[in-house]
Amino acid sequence: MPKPAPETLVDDAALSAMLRLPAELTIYTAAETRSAWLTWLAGDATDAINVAIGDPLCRVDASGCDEIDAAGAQLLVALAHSLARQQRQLHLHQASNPVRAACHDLGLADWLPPEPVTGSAATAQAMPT
Amino acid sequence: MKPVDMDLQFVADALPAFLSEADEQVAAIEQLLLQLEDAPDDRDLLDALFRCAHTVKGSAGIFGLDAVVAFTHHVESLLDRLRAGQLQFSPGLSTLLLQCNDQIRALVTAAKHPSADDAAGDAERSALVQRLQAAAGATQVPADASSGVSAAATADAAPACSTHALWQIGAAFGNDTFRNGMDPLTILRYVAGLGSMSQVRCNTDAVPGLEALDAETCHLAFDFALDTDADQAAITAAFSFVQDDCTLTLQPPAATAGIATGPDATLAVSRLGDLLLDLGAVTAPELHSALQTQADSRADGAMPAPIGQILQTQAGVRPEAVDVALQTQARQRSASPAGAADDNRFIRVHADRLDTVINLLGELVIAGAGAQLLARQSKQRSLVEANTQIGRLIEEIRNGTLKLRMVPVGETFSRFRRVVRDTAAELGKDVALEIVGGDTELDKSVVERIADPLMHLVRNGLDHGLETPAQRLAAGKSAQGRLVLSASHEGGGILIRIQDDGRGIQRSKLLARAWERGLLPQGHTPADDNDILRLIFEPGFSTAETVTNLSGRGVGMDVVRRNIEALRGTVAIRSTEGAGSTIDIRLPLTLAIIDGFLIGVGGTKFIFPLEAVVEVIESRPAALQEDARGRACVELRGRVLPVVDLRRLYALDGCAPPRVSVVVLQAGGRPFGVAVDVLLGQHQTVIKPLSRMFKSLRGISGSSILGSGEVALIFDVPALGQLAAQADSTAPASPMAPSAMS
Repeated sequence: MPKPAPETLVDDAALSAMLRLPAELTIYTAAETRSAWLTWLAGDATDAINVAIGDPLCRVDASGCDEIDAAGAQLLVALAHSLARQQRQLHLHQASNPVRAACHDLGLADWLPPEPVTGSAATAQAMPT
Repeated sequence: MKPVDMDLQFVADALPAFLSEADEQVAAIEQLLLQLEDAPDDRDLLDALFRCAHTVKGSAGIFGLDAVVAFTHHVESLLDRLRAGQLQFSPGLSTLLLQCNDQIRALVTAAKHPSADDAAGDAERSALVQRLQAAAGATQVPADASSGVSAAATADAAPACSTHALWQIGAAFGNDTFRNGMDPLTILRYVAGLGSMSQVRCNTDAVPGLEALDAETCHLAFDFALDTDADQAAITAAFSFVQDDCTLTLQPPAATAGIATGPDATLAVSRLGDLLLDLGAVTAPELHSALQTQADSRADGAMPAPIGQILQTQAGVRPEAVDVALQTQARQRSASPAGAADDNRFIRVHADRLDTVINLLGELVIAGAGAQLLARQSKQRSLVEANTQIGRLIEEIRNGTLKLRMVPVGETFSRFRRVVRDTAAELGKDVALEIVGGDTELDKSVVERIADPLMHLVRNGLDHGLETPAQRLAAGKSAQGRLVLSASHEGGGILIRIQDDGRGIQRSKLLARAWERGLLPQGHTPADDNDILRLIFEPGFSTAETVTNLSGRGVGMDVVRRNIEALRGTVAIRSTEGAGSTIDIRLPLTLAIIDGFLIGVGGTKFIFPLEAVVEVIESRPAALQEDARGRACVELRGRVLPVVDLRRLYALDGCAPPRVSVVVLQAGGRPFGVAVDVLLGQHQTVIKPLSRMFKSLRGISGSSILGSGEVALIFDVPALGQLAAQADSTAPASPMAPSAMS
């Protein structure tokens, strides 16, 4: 359940630190995406704050991804595993339709927020105050 | 000894363990059924229920208890139809299954005494079997189901049975899948086109973290159900593009239905071999031959190696794969709802052995205290230190050992769900049972001995306390009555409360009965309301107009009180006419050893249970103030605290010192003080019962032997609290009050 973080922490900095899925998340981009994510994982401090305040959800912006295959999904699985080690939970934010469909078909729908796409929680998150 | 004899011997040895486990399973079935009544759509409960029944049947088969197997089989078949969604769980079915469960219990009990075979039971069972078959059969022809939701449900399910079928499919993709240009997502979508795919689960266990991942190596595996009319060849063909890169496990619909054969489908906890098969780490023939090896070594009488190990050596399975599978299994085990039933499976220790240990521990505590005292007198520092260390260890052992005997009281409570359900139905009442604080722990022996008194009180509340829906509505209450069973810790003991919102106790009826029975002089009304209510616990009392077969024999309540008092507990009743009654049972946590607070008055030592001690006011002038009623009291932070003067109460020898300390105790929500000469500190107290002669001693619950060999008396704090409330200067209570007054 995506619960909105306290207002002070949902600011531009938090949004800019949010990981964005690339437009193409497939076997062809998997290797470079992996290294990009590793860098992000190492430098991501914002979510550490969220963890500290008891919000384990790690939101990943999935709105810009319009191509995904099983290799891309596996990369997300690996990311989820790495996050789990930090007591964090992968959460796909505003997932595009291809991502949404792939998650459903691969039994990974747990990452998605409950329908509909733009739930009130998601909207609250998207709007910096 | 011939192998056959050995087998027989083994079976005979293992039978008691089976019987006790079967009892647990039967109890679990009952609880699950009752829970299902509240949540008929809960799939996990249904699955757990099925597993319990299946376990009973399976183990009974091993022990050759054919009657259990045959009967349970019918139950299992019905449960199977429920699981398949071909049948809707209904209160009627629940009643039927509960009755069947009673018969399973009877059969298991009969296995303990093979001679005790009953024809009546057989007749009842065959009748039940017929009803089970009727219940299961009614839905085989969906056209017969004429109306309502269940008809719709069966109509949905029925075509699926006849034309389509649910395949359970596992697909573990090989490492090179991606490199070979294959995309499991595309393949799954293609397979989904064969019918309707559901329950897709991605097995992500083999996928490493981002740090260790080679993004081009595939670690994915999927499990899903496929509702299709395609045959096995067609399904396999859908995977033909990845034939070499994919380990496919197909479980045909028949296996899903014939539950007994498919551990995958029936047990939430998969077997290691199956998991490895799912992971693609082993092929079916390899697994088969490894299992054969294991079976062979077992037949030779040797301790068989774990299957994981055999697979590693024989089939060259990677150790990491076995680890992953083992972890998955462990996780499934902890997540599985059957865990609830499995939680009860611990090492079984004979209660006598435990008692022996606890008795020895008591002696050890006393001996330890003696050694400590001697060490202190010797004034050798190292000896004192060594003894202190030993004392600390003894305390830890004591706590640990006593904890071995502690069990949650909820197990006893949940037994009442069935009683309440059946009794309420029998009496035409609608009652909701609420259980609060079921995880409160209590000494096992206390739990066992409290079950019967509780049962009686619950039945009594149902029978006499709660009204029928019509009566309740007339009285302006909701139609459904409420019965609350709660347990909580209070002042070093446990408080069990039975509360109902029924009609309460009518004092006039009670008094009339008491006069009629000669329990009170004709026309005499005790001044204290509590004294009137307490009449209920007098022998030979019954207030219901019609004596029912449930609770109205009037032989129960005095027995209840006696049983509770035998546990060093007390029972108290409160009741508001028209609004319900509350029965409070206070019990000591354990019967053996407690943490005590040792004090001295003159030459006599006393012990308070440490949990009851709130604080201590040290060294104040011995002359205590007196309140208007002549009770001694002190002022504590602006409030008046009644104080019991032990010297006066028990007429102790020796003159009072110039200054005394006041120990503040809490019992039943009201604090009170006790004036003492010296505070001697915390003391591990081994409770020794008082002999009959001292049973009438008010305010004292037991005795203990100190390290020095002296005897200290242990206070019963609630009783002492009552003395504090009533003691006044005009009547110094004698130490030996007549028993009638207690």
